[in-house]
Amino acid sequence: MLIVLITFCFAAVFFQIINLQFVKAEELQFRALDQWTRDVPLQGERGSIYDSAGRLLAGCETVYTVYVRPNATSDKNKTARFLSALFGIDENYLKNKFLSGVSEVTIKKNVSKEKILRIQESKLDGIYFAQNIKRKYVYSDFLSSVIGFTNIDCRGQAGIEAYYDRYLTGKDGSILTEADLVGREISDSQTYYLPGEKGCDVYLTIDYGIQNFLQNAVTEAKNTHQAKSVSCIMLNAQTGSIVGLARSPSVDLNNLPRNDLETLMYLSKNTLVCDVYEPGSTFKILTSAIGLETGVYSEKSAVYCPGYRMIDGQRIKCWKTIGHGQQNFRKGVQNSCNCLFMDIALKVGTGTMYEYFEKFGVNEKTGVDISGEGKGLTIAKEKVKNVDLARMGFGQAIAVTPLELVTACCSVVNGGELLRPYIVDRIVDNCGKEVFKGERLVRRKVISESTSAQMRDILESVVTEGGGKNAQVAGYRIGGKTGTAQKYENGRIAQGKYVSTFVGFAPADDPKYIMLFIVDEPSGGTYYGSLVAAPYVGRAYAEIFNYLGIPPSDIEPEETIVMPEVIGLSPVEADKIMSEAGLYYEYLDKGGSTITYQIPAPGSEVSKKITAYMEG
Amino acid sequence: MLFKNRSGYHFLLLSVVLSAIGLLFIYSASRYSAEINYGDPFFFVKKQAIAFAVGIIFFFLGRFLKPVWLKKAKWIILILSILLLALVYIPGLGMSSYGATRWISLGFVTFQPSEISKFGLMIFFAGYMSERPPVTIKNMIVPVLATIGVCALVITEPNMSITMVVGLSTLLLFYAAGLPKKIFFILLCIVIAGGVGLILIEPYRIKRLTAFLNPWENPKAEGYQLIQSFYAVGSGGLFGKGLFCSRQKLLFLPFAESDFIFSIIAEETGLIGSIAVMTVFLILIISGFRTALASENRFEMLLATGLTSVIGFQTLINLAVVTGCIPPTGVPLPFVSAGGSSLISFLFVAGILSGLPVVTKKELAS
Repeated sequence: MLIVLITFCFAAVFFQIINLQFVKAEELQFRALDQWTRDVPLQGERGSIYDSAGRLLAGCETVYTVYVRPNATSDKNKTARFLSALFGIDENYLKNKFLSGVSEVTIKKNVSKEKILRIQESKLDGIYFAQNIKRKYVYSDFLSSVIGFTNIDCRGQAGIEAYYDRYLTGKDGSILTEADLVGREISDSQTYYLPGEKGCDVYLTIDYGIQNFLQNAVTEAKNTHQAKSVSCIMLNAQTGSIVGLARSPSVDLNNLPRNDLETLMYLSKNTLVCDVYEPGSTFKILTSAIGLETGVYSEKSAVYCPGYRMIDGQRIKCWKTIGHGQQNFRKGVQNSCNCLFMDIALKVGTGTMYEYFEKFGVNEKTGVDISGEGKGLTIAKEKVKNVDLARMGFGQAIAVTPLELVTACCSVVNGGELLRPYIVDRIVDNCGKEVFKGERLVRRKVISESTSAQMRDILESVVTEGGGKNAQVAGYRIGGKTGTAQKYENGRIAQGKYVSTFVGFAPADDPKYIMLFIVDEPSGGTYYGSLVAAPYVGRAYAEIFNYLGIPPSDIEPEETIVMPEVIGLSPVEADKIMSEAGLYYEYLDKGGSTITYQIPAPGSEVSKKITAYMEG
Repeated sequence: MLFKNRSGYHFLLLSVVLSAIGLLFIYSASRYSAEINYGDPFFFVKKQAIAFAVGIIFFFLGRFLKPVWLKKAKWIILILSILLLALVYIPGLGMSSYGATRWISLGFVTFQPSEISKFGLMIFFAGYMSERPPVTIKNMIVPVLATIGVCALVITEPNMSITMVVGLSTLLLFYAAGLPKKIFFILLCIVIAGGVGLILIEPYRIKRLTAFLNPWENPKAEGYQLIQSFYAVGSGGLFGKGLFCSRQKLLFLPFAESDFIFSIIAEETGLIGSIAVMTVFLILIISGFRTALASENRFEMLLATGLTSVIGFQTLINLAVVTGCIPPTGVPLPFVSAGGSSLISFLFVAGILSGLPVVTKKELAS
C-alpha cells in the first residue's frame, strides 16, 4: 500500500511536469522569452498627415538613440574618447558614467544615420542603437494650429496629432538579444529582429491650395492692421468639412518653443475652436433668420431707427447715432441697424430666442474632431432682462466660439441644416485599407428652406448694397455680414480693443463655401469689420474660385465716382451727400458736431463698390 | 564480501548515480553564476566533489555499522541530535542566511544540523519502539515528545520543509509500528492542523501561500521564485534544451544549483530526463521499503522505514515545490542538490540501508 501511495505522489508530480512542459509550455515560454532577451526598441513609424489631395503635410524621419552598456564594453577609455569626439561630450564625464556601475548609459538622442555608420565603422563593442522616429513637418508653420504636434516620444500632444493619436501611432518593433538577468549579452547569443508597423495615414479635408490663400490673407491682414492675431476658417457649406483654417501668428512645428509653455500654448492654440468671443454684428445673421423663421418679421416689415432705443429706461444706441430713419427689414439688415435687431429679439421673446440659440447650437460643442473644443456662453435664461435680450439681438452679451458661429451661419444659408464640422476626410492603414471616413452629418434642421433662401438673398444684398461692399469680387456672387465687437477684459469693456469680423459665403445663390474672418485687436486707423476684415474675404474668394477653375460671370465695368468732401459738414449733411453719391459708409461718432476725418480722401476717383469711412 | 545481498549493490549504485547526476547538473546550473560571483565556474562542483568523496567513505561506514550499535546508542543519538540543533542558536556558531538560522559554522566547514538530526530521530524512534512492541498511548509519549522537541527546534530556525519531512516520517513510523488505523488518522489530522497553524502564525508563509496561488500577481517579489521555476520546467519540452543549454541558470532562477536543481534538469533534459531522475528516486525508495518489509527484526524494519521515509518525503516535497504543486519552501533534493552536509548524510544513510540484512524468499521457505 505504501508503495502505491509513493508511486501515486510521484505520478502527481509527473503530471504537473507534463502540464508545465506541454499544456502551459507555450504561454510560459512566451513570457520567459521576454526576460531572456534584452530589448532594444524599434519605434514604429508614425502615420503621415496629408491634405485632401494627398499632399504630404507631416511625415517622419528615422533617427537613432545611442546607448553604451558598460558591461559589454571591452575598452571603456577608448569608447569614451571616440564618443566624446563624435558628439562633443566631455570625455571624463563619459568615463565616470561608464565606471559608475549603471547598466546602460544613454549617450545621445536624435542621431543621424551618418553618425551611426561612423560608429559601426569604429568596430567598438558595447555601443547600441535604438531606432526612433522624428516628426517632420513639411511646411513648418503652415496649418500649425490644426496639425498640432507630438512630444519628444512622438505621441500626439495637440491638434490632429493628439485627436487622432490612436490611429497615427505605429506599432513598435524591437531587436531582441539574448542576455542574462542583468542584461549582459551571453556568448554566442542570437539576435532577433521584429520590425515595427507604421501607423495609419490621416487625410484632412483641408485643401492645400485654399489653405494657402487663407494663410496669405491672415498674414497680410495681421501685418497691415498690426493686429494681435488674425484667423479664419472656411467650411464647405454643403458638407461641413473644414477646407481651410489659418491663423497668424503661427508656430514652426519643427522648432517648437518647448521650454516656454506659455508661448507654445499661445502660438499653437486653435483659438477658432477653443476660445469664445463676443460675435457682434455677425450674430445678426442668426437674429434675422430667427425673425423671419418665426414669422414675427417679413422682409417688408417697417422699422424706424431714431439712432437708439429706450429699453426699461436705458438708452441703447444704434451704431449710426443720427439714426437710419424709416427702413424695411431688408434695408435694416443691410444697414446693420441695431434697432431692428433689438426689436426682433424683444418681439420674439426670451423663450423662443433661447430655443433658437439651442437649435443653432451656439452654446453646445459642434462635435468637430479637434481636441479642446470650447462652447458658447449665454446668460442663464431665467436671469435675462429685456436689456440683455435686446443686446443679444445684435450680438452682444453672448459669447460663442468662432466655429459655432460659422457653423450656425452655415445652416442659415445652406437650406437650414446644422452640420457637424469635421476636418479629417479619411484614415487609411498601412495596407491601404480605409479605416475611418469623415462624413457629412446633419445635426438638425434649424430653419426652413424658404427662410434660408430669403436670408441668402438679403445677405447678398448686404455685400452689394450694404456694409459688406468691400467683400465684393467682380464676377462672383458673394453674401455676408460684417461685425465689429468690443472686447471685454475682466468683465469690462476694454477701451480701443475690438474684434473685427466678416462672415462670407459664395456663391450667394448656392453657397459652396462659407468663411469667418477674424481680426483680433487691429490697431492704427479703423477697426470696422467692413474695412478691416471684409476686403480679405473678397480677395480670398476671388483667388479660390480662380484656383478651383470657376470662371467669373457677367463682369460689369466698375462705376466710378469722384469722392466728395464731407469734412467740416454736420453728420446729417454728410449722410445726405454720401447717399446721393451712392456710397455706403461706416461712421464713428466721436461726439463732435462736424466730420473731422474721411476715407477715401476727397477728390480721389473711387469705385462705387467700396465702403467709405468717416468720423467726427 | 562487500554486500550481503543484491539490494546492497542497488543502494550503492542508485546513490552514486544520483550523486553523479547532482555533480553534472550542479556544474551546469552554477557555472555561469559561480564564474560571475566567485570567478570560478567550478566553485560549487569542487565543494560537492569533496563532499562526495567524503560521503562515499561515510557510505561504507554506514554499511559496516552493526544495526545493534545504533539501537544501543539510541539515547545518545537523540541527545546529540537535539544538542546539535540547539547549537544553531549559539551566537558565533550559528549562521544565518536568507532569513533563517540553519547552519553551524566551524570556520573551515558549515553544515546544517537538521540534515543529521532528522535521521537521528528516526534511529531513536526505531530503537525505542522496537523495545515496546504494543503501540499504546503510554509507549508513544516519549517518541512523540522527542519528535515535538526536534520539530520545535527545526521550525524555529525556521525550516518548515524539514519539519514537514520529520513530522510525516514519524507518522509513517507509528503506522509501521502497528498503530491502529483510527489513531493514525487522528494523528494525521493533528499534523495537518499543526502545518496549517504554522503557516498562519508566520506572515511570510501566508505571503508565500498567496504567491503560490497566484504567482503572476507579484512576479517581481513573492511570485518570482515559482515563476522562474515554471519558466525553467515549462521550456524543457520532451527532450529539453540540451545539456548545459539552460537559459534560466543565467541568474534568473535563484538556488538553481541547490533547492531548484530539478528545474534545471527538467529544462535541459525535458520530460525524458525528468522521468529518468524520478525513476531512480522511485527505485531507491521502493528498495528502502522492501528492505524494511524483508527485515530480520522489528528494529531493522522500523529503522529502514524511518530512513527511507525521510528520503522519500524530502524528495517528494522538493519535486512538488519546484513543479509548483505545493507552496515554495526551501528543501534540497536528496543526493542531487549542492550542499555538503546533505550529501554526506544521505550517503551515510544509504550505506546503513545497504548493510541491513534481508530475509530472502528462499530463507523464508526453509
